[in-house]
Amino acid sequence: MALLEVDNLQVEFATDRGIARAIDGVSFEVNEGETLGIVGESGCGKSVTSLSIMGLIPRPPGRIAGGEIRFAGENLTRLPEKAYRKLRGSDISMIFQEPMTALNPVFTIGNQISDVLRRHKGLSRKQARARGIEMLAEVGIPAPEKRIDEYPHQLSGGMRQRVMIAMALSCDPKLLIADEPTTALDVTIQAQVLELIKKLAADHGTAVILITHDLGVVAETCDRAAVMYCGKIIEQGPVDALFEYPRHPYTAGLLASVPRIRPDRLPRLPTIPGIVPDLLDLPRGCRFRDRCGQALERCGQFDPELNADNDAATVAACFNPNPVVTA
Amino acid sequence: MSTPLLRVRGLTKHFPVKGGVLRRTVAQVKAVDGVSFDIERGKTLGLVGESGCGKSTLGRAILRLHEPTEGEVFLEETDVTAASGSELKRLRRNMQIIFQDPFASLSPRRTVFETLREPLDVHRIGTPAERRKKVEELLEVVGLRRAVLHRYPHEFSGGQRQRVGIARALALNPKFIVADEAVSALDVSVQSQVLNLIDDLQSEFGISFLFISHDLAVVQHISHQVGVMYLGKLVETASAGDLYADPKHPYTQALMSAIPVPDPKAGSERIVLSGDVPSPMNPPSGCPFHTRCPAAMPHCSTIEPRMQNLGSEAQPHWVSCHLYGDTPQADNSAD
Amino acid sequence: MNATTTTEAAPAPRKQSESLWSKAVGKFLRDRWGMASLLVVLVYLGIALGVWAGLWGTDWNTLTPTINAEASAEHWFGTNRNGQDIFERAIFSTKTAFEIGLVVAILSTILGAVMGAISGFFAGRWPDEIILWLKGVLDSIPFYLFVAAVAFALQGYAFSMHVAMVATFWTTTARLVRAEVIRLKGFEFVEAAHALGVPELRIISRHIIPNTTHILLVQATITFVSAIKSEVILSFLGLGVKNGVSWGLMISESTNEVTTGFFNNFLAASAFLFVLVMAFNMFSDALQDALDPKKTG
Repeated sequence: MALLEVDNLQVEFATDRGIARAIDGVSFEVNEGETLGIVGESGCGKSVTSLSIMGLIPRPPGRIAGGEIRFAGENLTRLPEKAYRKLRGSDISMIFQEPMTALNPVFTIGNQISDVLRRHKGLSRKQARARGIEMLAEVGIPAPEKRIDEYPHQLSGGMRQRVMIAMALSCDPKLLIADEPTTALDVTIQAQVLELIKKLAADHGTAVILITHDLGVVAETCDRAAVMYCGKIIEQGPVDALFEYPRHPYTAGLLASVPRIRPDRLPRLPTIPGIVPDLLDLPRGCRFRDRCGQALERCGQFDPELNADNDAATVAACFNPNPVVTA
Repeated sequence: MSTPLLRVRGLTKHFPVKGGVLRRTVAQVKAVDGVSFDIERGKTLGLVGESGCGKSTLGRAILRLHEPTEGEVFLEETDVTAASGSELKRLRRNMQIIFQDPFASLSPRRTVFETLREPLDVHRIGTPAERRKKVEELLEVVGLRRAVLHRYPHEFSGGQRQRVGIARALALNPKFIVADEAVSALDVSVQSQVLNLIDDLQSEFGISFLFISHDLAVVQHISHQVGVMYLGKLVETASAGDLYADPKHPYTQALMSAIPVPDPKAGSERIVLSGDVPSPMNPPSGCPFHTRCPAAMPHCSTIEPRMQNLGSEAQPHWVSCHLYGDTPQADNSAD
Repeated sequence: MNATTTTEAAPAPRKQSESLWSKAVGKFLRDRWGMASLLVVLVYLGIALGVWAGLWGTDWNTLTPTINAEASAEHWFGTNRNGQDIFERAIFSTKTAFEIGLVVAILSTILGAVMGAISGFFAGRWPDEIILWLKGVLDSIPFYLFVAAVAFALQGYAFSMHVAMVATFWTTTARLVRAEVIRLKGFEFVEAAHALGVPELRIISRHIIPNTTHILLVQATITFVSAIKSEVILSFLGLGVKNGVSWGLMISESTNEVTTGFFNNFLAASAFLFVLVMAFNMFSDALQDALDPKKTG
């Protein structure tokens, strides 16, 4: 049994103009100790997916309209708020994009880490502080016994994100959800933080869901990845196969348009034409059809489901995927 | 050889830090510190650096959106830093800016038409009918349909808003445009659309760009020359070809290797820099990069390196680093 | 200018164009409590306009021989100790309330907007310093003391109460507008206007002030309510309305009647005041929700 199983999850939001289905039948699994990347562009539903797992969908306007989220066999969608609160921060924890807003500015870092440890692990004040210093040292914060008494604004962005990671891992969670953890950071700092997440997850045997828009980050950090578009997973599989032989035209297009340093300047950057459709006004059939270069007639009539092809390493939701390349 | 369109010489911008009860200036943030470069007609200089390196301040100081503390900027033969009043207003027709945030860069209560017509109104260009026609042309140029003319910013996606921002910058037919992180807030698929658009505009109208970005990979596609900035100073400039093929400065090398590559098989021989960027209020002595530099030598912390040309006269490659050239003399630090 | 061919031309967004205003109106129309409160306010406005046009409330000052009468078909709320019809007086007072509310709300909002805009645009420079100092001084004087002083200084002048209220109420609006202007000044669209060579005055009037109107509108409704409530207290203290009648004056009159066990005058004035203030506050809240760009549901 996988650690986390998301099964046909559907999440809706009430808007001025009607009900928007932000997530429409998403299913995936995360095994113990594994790192899964969820990639997609803004509005694809990747962050809503992570909030649903954490039970943090704002209700109203949001609501889980269907499906199940099973964590260690237990269905979280029906978990009462009190039990959820116990789970968050201990068995499942999360780090956010903007560490400044995720940390409380009026308490010291030590206060905030100890708070988590005392609540979930029942440590004494003294023990919690000692463990906090240990954690800060583990995430590579210099002079942790001094830093622990500082306030969030006294730290740089990279240091704050390290503190967030220390807090998230302080109770040895089984699953860590990292929602765009490095987007607000500079590239050189991003490299440090990604290394750190990778190393700590391996050391602690923590499973990680890494939510990001950056395919490069996924390639360097994850074992498997799922690509989302308009509230659906359109392709998933092992990272090596997904990036080398993408089957869905959207995955291929996204990969091609990532800016990367090339030996020679291209005359023109590859793009995906058009824009992401409005969730309240989706095209009939496949959601990617209007922007797709290889759409067939049936793409306008039926919405393709994730479909395993015996020879392919990834599963793609497409009627006319790129051919399977056998390595 | 023709003279460059834009010449920047020793441009410096210091922000005073006020403190105490009497709000006296207690320190200076050296956001931009003695930067010089040229941009040729119809060419793009890509300017790369991490947050806080002063790249955005530099762009705004060139346009006099921030008053430079020192230094000179020449657009063709005109001294931009000395211009005032009506002369500055006339200059503004030739130099424009595209912003990063597609949400903050358009006034939420004005339609696309009102936004695009304003520059024409302010500079009294054409009759009302001609202005309308010009606005419609602008939309076409940036790839938006005429039907969007009377729509409000909130009705557009980020990429479409960015196109409106570009159209506004084009309205006065400028010769030079500062693009400040113009694609950083956009999704990758849209990012490449906008980059291609900027490329098209350059070949069509011969506009020169200063393209500011934190992302070396984005800059490569769009630039002819590339400059790398660290703590308010240029540390390396060269043609795009030279810089990407053979980065000289350890900081440029580290920046390049830090970019995550979407290819799991690419071996990660990454140079991970330790530590954070120092505060520009209190920059390190000697070479500003020595605190994080993997190749730092003892004299790096005391003597500030000078720009030296490691390329040829025709194809210069400027680097300010002690790894190259002769062992520096102490009196060079006065620069 | 030749057109560049852009193959990536993005499709236009759907349907009719919508300004932020029409969006806000749409949102307000769907707010049930907001609409109900607006309806109540409109009924009051209708009453006030009717009085002003001489359609009703004309007998507010007519004396009748029946003193402190209970409610009857002839006198709906009874009569006061002078024999005047309480219902007529309560109706007439609606006009008084609207006059004061509107005059004070409009004037103090305009004054607050102008002062706030100047202060925010020149933040840190001398015009800002002067306005901040003035605000500080006005805010530090106790309100009723100030009104009493103004009323004394402008003895016999019918609008001394209005002057006093405007002079104190504009400061809150100015503070909010100043903060918003300082925030807007940092926005890239304002920088873009500078880069395009748009003159400063035009930047203030076309780019900055239009983006503060939502604050002004909400602030005007809040001031309206404050003015009406203050009028009641001031009239009760004898510092308020001199000509005509108001709910405050009615409550003031009723103090003598209440001791004798006659509550009609007090109840009528309080009820009229309470319902209007309540409705207006709810309206103001709904308006704020509808105009708040952060709350796009």
